Amino acid sequence: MAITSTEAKQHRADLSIVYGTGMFLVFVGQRIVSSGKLAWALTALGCLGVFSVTVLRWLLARKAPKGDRTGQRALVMLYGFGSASLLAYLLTSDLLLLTIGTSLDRHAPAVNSAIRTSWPALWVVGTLPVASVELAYRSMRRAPVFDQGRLITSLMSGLGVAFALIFASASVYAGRISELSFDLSYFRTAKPGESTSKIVKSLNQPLTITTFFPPTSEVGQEVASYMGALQGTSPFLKIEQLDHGLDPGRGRELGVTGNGVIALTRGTLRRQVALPLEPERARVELRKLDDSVNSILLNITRPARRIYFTKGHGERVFKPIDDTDRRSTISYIKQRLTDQSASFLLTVSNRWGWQIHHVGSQCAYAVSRRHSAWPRHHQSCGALLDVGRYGRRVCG
Amino acid sequence: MSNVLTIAGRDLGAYFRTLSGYVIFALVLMIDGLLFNAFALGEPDRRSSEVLAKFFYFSSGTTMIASIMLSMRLLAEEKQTGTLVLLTSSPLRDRDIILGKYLSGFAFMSLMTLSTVYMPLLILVHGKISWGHLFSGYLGLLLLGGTTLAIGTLGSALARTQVLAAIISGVMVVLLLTCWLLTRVTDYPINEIVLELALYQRHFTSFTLGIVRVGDVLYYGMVSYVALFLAIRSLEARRWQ
Repeated sequence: MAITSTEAKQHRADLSIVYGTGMFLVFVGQRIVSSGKLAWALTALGCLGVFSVTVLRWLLARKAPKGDRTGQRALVMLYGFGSASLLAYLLTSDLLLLTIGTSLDRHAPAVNSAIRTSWPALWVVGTLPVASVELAYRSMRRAPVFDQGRLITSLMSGLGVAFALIFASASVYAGRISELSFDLSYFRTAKPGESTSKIVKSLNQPLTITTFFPPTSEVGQEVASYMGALQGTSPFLKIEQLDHGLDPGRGRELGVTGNGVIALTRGTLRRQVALPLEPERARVELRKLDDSVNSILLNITRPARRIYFTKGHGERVFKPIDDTDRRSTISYIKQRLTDQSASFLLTVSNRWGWQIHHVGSQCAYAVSRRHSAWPRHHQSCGALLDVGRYGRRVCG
Repeated sequence: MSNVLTIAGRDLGAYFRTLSGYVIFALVLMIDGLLFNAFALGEPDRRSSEVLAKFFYFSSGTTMIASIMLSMRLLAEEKQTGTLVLLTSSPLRDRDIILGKYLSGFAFMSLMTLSTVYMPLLILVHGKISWGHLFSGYLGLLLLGGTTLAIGTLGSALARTQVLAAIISGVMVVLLLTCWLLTRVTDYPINEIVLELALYQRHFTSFTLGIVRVGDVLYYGMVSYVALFLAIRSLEARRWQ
């Protein structure tokens, strides 16, 4: 539908300029100046501009000639989206905190999150199509009549671009937070995991990690990159990178006999991880490096614990009776607990009386109440005293 | 779809019928070969995976430049020679024209990139690389090249001449390459957005190390999608501008 040239001249492009300037002022106030009175003054001025032109555009659209109503209404709708995005932004900004002393985040965190996510989308929808509609109007500024088809096509084009941008941004964001990845490299050396990093961060005593690799070893470089990621995580962590050939003394001190070893030392506790020096053979171990280091760290950084349990009536045995016996044995549990840095393991048996197993880092003692030799074991006596203290609970 | 393939086939043939296609192809192979010999193989005591990563690092630059050179002619040449009117007045949608031209450029760029595969295979003479690492690197190169080509297609759709198209595309690519520097002077969340836009720094490095991150693949796909979408809208804007 065509309208007369007199009507065509009634389009006010300057409102869109004020609209854009208002948005820019809000951006400058909130993101560039960011704090202080000037920031809020610019924000207020920008908002005032945007809201005023939205109302003004609405009033003009009501009086617009019949042929131009679609274009003007489209602009009102777009200004409305822009104004709504500004309102939504202000609701999630510090404005509420500064004016009424509270924030939306405190009262309705879910609503706050929803608004924070949606206002950029609203802003894009309310801004980009304005530019394309104004370009369409500009192309017809000398035309005797407006071509309504052009305005609609330009509006749809602008909306299409806005929706494409929203879709692309949402997809990229989803991809980023999914953190799904495939490591196809030759060496897939694990990186320190969250658990390992947390253990190291929570260290309260010095821990030394000493790696023994020749300087040109590819495996050594992979281990060094892993250790590099741990370095600086805690002031109690000390990492030494040595070549056993050059520092055999330090190796002897740590009980290391050659290269290809990672030694972890905390006080008197020592643990080692051995790795092959050939890259081909070390690939699998390198992938599991974080698991190995993690379990050792768990082992040596935990304080010693005492674990008590009853042997019962023979439901559990120390070793399988024969090949068909598939029960989980006490020896197995003992070993697992030893791995977890358990200092004592006490078993109580109805049949044999008290049996006390003191499981240290290196050795284990077994004592029976009826055994004539038990009082001579000093450590076992200490353990028995503990049984006396906790026995009722254990036996009960 | 047949319209898209018809245009793609026609434009792909044009690369091989003209000298410019062969010149770009030969230049890319020569520069890649020189850089590979000088910097990747030339330095002693380096792990095979590092040599391979270096190769992908150098190849990414040549792939991006070649993509801009390949894309600058896609639509701008039609405008210069006045044949765009023939295309737009034929029973084709704007979408078919843009996608067909992009596909032809992508096919040529892929052929050119994959023809460098003998270089990383040379590492196998004295070293060991994983096929997965090789796949990851080439996937990254194709994605980076495809994205640059899409940006170049947009530049070509916006410009009237090929030179102007190359300049516009170059500026857009350089902006995307260097925008991460703005993270030093911007606050959250602008810095996060700017960093996420970084064409190379944020999204390509993991491919050179043999790591395929779904987020990076999505990023390249989405930038290509937006660039092509804008190119279609730009061609379509002739109706209302």
